[in-house]
Amino acid sequence: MSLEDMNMPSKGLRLKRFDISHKILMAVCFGLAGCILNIPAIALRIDSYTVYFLIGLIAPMLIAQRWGWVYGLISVTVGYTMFNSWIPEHPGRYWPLLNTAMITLWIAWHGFCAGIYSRTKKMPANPYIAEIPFRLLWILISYTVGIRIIQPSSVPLDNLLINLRPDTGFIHFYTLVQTLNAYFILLLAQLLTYTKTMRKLLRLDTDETYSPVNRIIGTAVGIGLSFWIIDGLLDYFLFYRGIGNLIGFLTGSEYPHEFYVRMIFFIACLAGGLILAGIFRTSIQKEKQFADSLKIFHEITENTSDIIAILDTEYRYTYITSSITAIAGYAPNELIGTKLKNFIHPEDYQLIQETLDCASAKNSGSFKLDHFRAVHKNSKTIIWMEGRITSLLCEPAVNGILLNCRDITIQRQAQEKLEQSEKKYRSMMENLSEGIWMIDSTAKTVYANKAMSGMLGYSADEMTGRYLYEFMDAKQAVNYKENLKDQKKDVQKTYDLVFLRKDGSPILTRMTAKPVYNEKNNYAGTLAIVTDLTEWKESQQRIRYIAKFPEENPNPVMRVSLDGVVLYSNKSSEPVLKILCADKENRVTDSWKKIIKESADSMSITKMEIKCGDRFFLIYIKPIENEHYVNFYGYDITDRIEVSESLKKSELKYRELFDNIRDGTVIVDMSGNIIECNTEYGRMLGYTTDELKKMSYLDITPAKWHAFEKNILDSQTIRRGYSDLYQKEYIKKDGTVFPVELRAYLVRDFADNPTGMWAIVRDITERQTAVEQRERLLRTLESKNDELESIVYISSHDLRSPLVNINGFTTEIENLIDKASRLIDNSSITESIVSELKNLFTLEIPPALRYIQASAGKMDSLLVGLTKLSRLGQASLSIQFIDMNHMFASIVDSLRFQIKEASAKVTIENMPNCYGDPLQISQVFVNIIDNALKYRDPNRKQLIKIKGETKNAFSIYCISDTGIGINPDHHKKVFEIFHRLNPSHSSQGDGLGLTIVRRIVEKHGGKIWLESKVGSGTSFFVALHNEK
Amino acid sequence: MLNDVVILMAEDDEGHAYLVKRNLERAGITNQIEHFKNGEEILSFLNELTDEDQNKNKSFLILLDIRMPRVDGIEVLKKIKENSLLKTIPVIMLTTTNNPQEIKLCHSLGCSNYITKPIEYEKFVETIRRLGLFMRIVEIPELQPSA
Repeated sequence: MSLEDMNMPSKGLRLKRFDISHKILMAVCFGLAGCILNIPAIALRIDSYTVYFLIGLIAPMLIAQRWGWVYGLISVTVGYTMFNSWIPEHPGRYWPLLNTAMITLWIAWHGFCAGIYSRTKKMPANPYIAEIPFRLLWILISYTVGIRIIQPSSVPLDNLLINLRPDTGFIHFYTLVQTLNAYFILLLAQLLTYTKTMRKLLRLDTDETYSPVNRIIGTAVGIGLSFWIIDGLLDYFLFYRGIGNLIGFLTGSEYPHEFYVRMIFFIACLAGGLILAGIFRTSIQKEKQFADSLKIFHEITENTSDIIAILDTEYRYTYITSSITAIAGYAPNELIGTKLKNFIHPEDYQLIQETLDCASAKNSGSFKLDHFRAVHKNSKTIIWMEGRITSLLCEPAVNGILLNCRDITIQRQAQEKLEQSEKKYRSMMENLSEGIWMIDSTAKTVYANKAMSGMLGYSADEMTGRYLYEFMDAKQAVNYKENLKDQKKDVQKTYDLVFLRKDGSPILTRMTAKPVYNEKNNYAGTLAIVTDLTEWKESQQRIRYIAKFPEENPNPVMRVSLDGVVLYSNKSSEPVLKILCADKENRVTDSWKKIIKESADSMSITKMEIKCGDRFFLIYIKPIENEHYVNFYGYDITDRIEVSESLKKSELKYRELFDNIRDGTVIVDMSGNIIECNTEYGRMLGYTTDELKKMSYLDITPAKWHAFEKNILDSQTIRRGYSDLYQKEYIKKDGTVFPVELRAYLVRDFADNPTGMWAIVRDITERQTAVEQRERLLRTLESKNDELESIVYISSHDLRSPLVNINGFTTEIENLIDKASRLIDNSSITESIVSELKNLFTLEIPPALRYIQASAGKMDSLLVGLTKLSRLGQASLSIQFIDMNHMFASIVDSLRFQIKEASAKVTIENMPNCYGDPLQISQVFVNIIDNALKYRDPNRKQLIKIKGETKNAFSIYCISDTGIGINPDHHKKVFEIFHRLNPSHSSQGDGLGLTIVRRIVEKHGGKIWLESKVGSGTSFFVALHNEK
Repeated sequence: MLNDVVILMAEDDEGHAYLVKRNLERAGITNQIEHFKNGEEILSFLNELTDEDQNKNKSFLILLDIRMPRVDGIEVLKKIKENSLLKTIPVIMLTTTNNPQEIKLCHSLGCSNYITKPIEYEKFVETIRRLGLFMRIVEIPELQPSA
């Protein structure tokens, strides 16, 4: 495991090998240096422990830090094996051997741990923990191998080169000190590297390649160094103070001194460190240079407009420059790991794959990719590219295929445009009615267009390659050759030439020839435009002929003298003459005379359209100079007039359709101004179409819809040309807001720019009302259902309840009568029996019978109530206007007696009117007022206040009292069937009053609710429609 | 002591109450029977009971009708079973409805028995007796009731 493998970022390109042999050599040198420096230490009776820590351990650790623990291992191993083999007589030579082995293991272990950590980021991230298994091994080895090795030696102590007496006690001590040392050093290292500044100072943060583990171990080594220096100083001051000096040591005249020796080792260490630092710096510089060049490389690749990509053998991107974003819209990260195929146009991928296959098979070499297409991220835009594939598979650092492409879309487009324009030009030449003939410098035909070849009766191919002279007779050819000699640059010449057609017939042509010179100013050929004069000449003749015979002109031709006499007219001018002369023979009318005069005076052509019978003519009146007449030329334009006439008609028809369409139709411009609308649209809004044309559709839309409609415009109409069917509201001229449903369509001009919108709008007021009505119906149904359910429940209780009594008391009477008859049977009637019987018949049987009667009566009233309720459901309403003031007055009047009895006071305010069935509505209020009279608070006078107000389409009536009030839990229950709040009042009601009230109100599409507070009174609210 | 068990009956129909009283008497159950006309009355009685200690040595058995004005029987049952002092009192539901869901609800709320009207008095008395045995409320009469 080397440092590079462990910690270098895998991103980017980098050198793989970094002079391995150089590193090994350095490691071996440092090992040997350590070894050599140890020899005098031992010879000078110094504890080699300190020395090998300084040189033998620190140097390898530094090496391990920089290049990887493998090299540190090499260093330490070389040093110690060499050292031990050099001192064969060393009595405790196995001891250093063991130390060597252990230190080697230490470095190897931490290196291993660091390696694992860097790779997996898992185990053991913490060097303290990593130390534990190693320490366990250390103790194990010390106590097994160590004790055997350190057998007490027979050699006298003086002769030992090591100042320690190895025994079991020593092993305890040694192991403990070693372990504590290790942890102490690690701890110090941790503390030291805790701050960022310190890490910077120790150059531990300058390079991101240091993992935290390496950092701690590295510092541990540094601290170890200082620790042992202090140790040496302490040794000196405690044990060796003042003995000897360095000069003495160097000259050998004085006994050496451990301090000096340590100083020397320290200096040696420092020197070694400096050398190392130098080496490190070079290598760091090298890496920095490499990093710089890598950066430059990145700058170049990232800023290039070309795309540079590296593909693996599966043709997946492993690297791609960011230029891809500008060209194809992808971010580089999006593409890495994906296949090249996704980016290339499917039709072109085959070719690229073949080239890639070829490149990867060869492992090297470069292949050009001709124009191919790639697809932009938006999967619409096609990008034209050219490129090059280079196989770098044999380069271990790259190990891929280099793809270098350039966006040539613009060039390609330009080329296409050029080709197109050439094509266009060529087709223009080809379709020109004039003949085009190009010859080269030797008069060989290079090109002849269709008209040219057709003129001569050849095909274009037949003419190509043949000499110009081959198409003329010998005489002309000689003449023409002569002419050629005189030709000058930029001088165009016209010849009348007779060519020979394929069938041998001559053809008269006029040829305009222009010599063409190349860049070097040499004659390159001639471009000739050839006109067939045969036809021209013929037409010339025809014109002359027609001029001679106006008689045969299909259009009217006339000559009229200035005093109005028709001098000449051809046959076709008959219908015109009829208009000009009216009924007079050969004399034009006065009005025409005037026109002729004016035209002659001004000497200008007068143009007019006239209708002659069912035909239309365009007439030119042309005065002739110095003559006393004008010429009339007429053109029959009846057809043209008819076409425009029918066009007008169809527009009218379209307009009728537009106006008579059942839905409103409106056209607006992009800023919302109404440009056009049909009559239905105007009718719907109550404006005339002319009024609307001065408005914007925003003027007739309530403000709360503006944002909503803008959103539809942006997200639907503009985006895809039309909107979904949506609902909004409009404001009528009279201010009424009403719902509409519409769909808008975008109108575009020829350049595809949106110019406006048109919409079909439907008034959905009726539909909405229908929806509301249906909802009301549903609610009624629901409440009806509830009522039905409650009837089922009630019939199982309330209707059975009296039955229970009838049943029970019948049994009771049976028992009583049984008892009575037994009394009569069993004994002669005594005084006591008589009293017993009397008791039975007067005290016991009558209440039983009373209960039976009461229950039967109760059942009867329940059934009557139910019938009433069911009848109410069937009765039809006769809705009419109700004068509520009048109604309340008569209700109060009818309840006069009860009011007096309850000593209550009723006040009525001025009431809004409503629509409803007067009978049923009066029942509603009778019931409510009756209830108010019943449930009064005995402690105070009952005040009943009746008032009303109008809200939207409803009149709301409020009947409030100062009665006992209703508990909030019962606000809903009071409307339930047979519900009685206070059984003490049961005799006065059947529990159906408010149920019936609610039924009536709901049948009228109204609403009833109450507000109440126990102890202070109840207010009933009834809302009824105030419109029919 | 045995006679100190009081039967509390909540019943809005006077006739029903009369019949229950009569039939219990006939079956030899001579305990004091308190009649309440709706749920509110019995609840206020029970509330006073928990406040005062004078009824300490009395035991109770409650007969509840379900459909009553103001506070219905189910509400009363709920209140009784929520109250830690009252919840040990056995409650028999007496009602005309035989809706299985209602029966289930009453049992889940903790009623001791559920009897539908018209009452089979033999079964009713047996139930009272069994509950009474447990509570020691019933004085066994010398004569077995012929019902």
